[in-house]
Amino acid sequence: MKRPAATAAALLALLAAPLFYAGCGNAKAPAPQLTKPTNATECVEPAATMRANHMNLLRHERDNIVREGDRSRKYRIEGCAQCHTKRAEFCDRCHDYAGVKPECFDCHYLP
Amino acid sequence: MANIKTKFTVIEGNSAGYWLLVAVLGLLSLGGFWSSYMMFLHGHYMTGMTNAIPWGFPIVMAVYLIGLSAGSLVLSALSSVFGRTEFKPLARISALLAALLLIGALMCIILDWGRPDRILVPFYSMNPRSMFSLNGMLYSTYIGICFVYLWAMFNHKEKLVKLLGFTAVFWAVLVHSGTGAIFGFVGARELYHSPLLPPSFIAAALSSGTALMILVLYATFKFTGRQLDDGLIRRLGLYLAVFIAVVAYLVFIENVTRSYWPGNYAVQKFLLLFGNKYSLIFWIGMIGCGLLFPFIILANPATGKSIGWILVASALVVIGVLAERYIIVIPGQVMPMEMFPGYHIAGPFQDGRMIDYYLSPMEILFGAGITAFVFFLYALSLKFFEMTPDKAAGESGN
Amino acid sequence: MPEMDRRSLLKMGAAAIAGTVIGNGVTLYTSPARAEEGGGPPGAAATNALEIPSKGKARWGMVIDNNKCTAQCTACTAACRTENNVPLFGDERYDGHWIRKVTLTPERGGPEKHLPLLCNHCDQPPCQHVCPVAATFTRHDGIVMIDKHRCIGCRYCMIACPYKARTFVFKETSEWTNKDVPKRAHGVVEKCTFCAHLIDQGKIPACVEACNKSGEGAMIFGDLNNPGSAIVKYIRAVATKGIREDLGLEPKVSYTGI
Repeated sequence: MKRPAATAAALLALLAAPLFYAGCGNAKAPAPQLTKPTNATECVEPAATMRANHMNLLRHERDNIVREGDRSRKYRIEGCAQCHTKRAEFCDRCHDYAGVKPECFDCHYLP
Repeated sequence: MANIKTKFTVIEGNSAGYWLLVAVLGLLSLGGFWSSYMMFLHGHYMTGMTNAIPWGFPIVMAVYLIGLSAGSLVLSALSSVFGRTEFKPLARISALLAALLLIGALMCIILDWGRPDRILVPFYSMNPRSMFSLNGMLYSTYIGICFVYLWAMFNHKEKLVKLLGFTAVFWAVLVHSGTGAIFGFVGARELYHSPLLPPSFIAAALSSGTALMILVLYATFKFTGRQLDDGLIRRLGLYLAVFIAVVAYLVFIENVTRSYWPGNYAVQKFLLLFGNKYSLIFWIGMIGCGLLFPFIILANPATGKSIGWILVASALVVIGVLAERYIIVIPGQVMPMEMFPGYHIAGPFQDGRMIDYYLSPMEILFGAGITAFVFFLYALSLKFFEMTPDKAAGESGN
Repeated sequence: MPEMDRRSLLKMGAAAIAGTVIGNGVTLYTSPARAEEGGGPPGAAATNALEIPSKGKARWGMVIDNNKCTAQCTACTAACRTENNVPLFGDERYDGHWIRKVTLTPERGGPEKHLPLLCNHCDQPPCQHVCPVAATFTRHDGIVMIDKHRCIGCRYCMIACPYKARTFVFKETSEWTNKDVPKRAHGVVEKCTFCAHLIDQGKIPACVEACNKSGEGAMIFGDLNNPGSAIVKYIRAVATKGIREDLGLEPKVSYTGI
């Protein structure tokens, strides 16, 4: 390590490369096309809240459901399935767009 | 600094041999990580573990590495706490090894989990009744103590070194007793349930730690062309003989206690006489390599003074204690649990019979890889930190 | 505490729900209406339907009548596999077993016994005591369950369980026989839940239902806190015994004829 400043700068540049790469292109990923449920017009919370917080709501309530056995809770993954009957056209599309891989569906069945 | 005769320096580490060593160790550790990744990706059926033997070689390795770590740390504190200045040259190396070995042990445990990606769960969801949970706290503080202790040694803060050395010995004993308690406190399995496990874990830690230190010291000094005081090795050899005797005593008491009671005849027959490969490992590995042969070598005046023989004895102990850990972890699960006394039980869950455990290549790679990673970090640390005592200044080779 | 004391005490409970501690943190609750129907000889297995006590008051238990359980019948194990998506790989090393049939041969001779083994839902569960992340917990109704969201797969509970009631998910299954029930991703420990999802709907566990349907009627499931339930009546009339009661884990599954 003879030139620490230069080494650090090179390392930083290397790490930041994906950001520059992403910033350079003009191409923007097309917004996901979601198939909305037909049997209901509103979700349990306003769409904006659900979009931002559905994972927190589910994660928070799952302790009450699993550990307290309280299955009357409002936010349950089984509840989602009552309206959102096509996971591939709703959940997956947005998750793919956002680049997240929830583990929920490893064990829970959503059609 | 005036009162310290030993001067610590970095090794140069530019020779081809050094880089070859680092490369080989690095490759092996990559192999270990690959095997743990395969376990994570595909499930634990990649290993030799089964539903009847849920704890396999990774746990053996974890317990083994924790023992080596605790033994090393106690040796490191000999000079600072007990005023044995002749052990000063190994103080830094052994404290470093203690930290690295425990990191290796933690990696063994965590990468062996079914869900190592849930590494953060133990931090927010604790169960103070669980020995595992308590040990998790002990292990993390232990690594912290090791590093602060090293830092204090590097900065010659003598009072702090003494205080931390004392804490380190206490903590090492606590940590390894806790590891013994993981097994000893389990009432469900006859071969585990014993209050003697924590103390015999400590004794085995001291013997294996001392043996490893002898080997590591010798290898490090030879490899870097430094001059090693033969008296130091001989004194460590003497300590090793004492520790072996303590382990032998505890193993003897434990087995005699179990063998005395007629209800345990079946268990003891399995372990000592008819358990085929487990009794082979017990007698040849644990008793022969770990206790009998090295003790004869060290206690015999003709061989006990020879550096070569001490090295042989140390290597035997390092292997023998691994066998001892294996004998502690595996046969306790192989032996079927007596659920219905007076009945022979048969069922689909391998009920009522010995279940063999086959060491899979994946687990061997895993164990070897994590061990290699520990020594990979060790080799690099010697290059970057002033760890190694430099008795013959100007004479250092590579 | 003698049975009569408990019952008379319950009868004394006035309009509201009466509760009494019968030891070890187990509280016995019942409503006066139920206390009135207590006692009496054990009913036939047909009265095995669940009476749902008010939430949080029940303490589920099971009695298996060994004399009625036959060698060939696998109704309970099959029902469990279908209900809970427990896979059978055909490799005994990795098969999951929430409930399994074993054969007991007396060492000094005599007729063989066949009985199902399942999680005993101990009152003092060692698996829960050793779980480093508190993933194993006891529900308010006494069911010992694993929170698979939290399980790290360290398998210490499998070491600590003296009943071999727990299995590790070595492999994942692609089968999804009952889509209402989650399956398990590999790397967590699983075991019998007494079909808690069915109990919460007021139904009885799948194995018990299958046992009743098969005509064997060897399994009695019910609320141990409800003196009027079939299981309590049965336990009072017939000698039952838990497995390895000497370990002091207070299993809630007991057997007759072992």
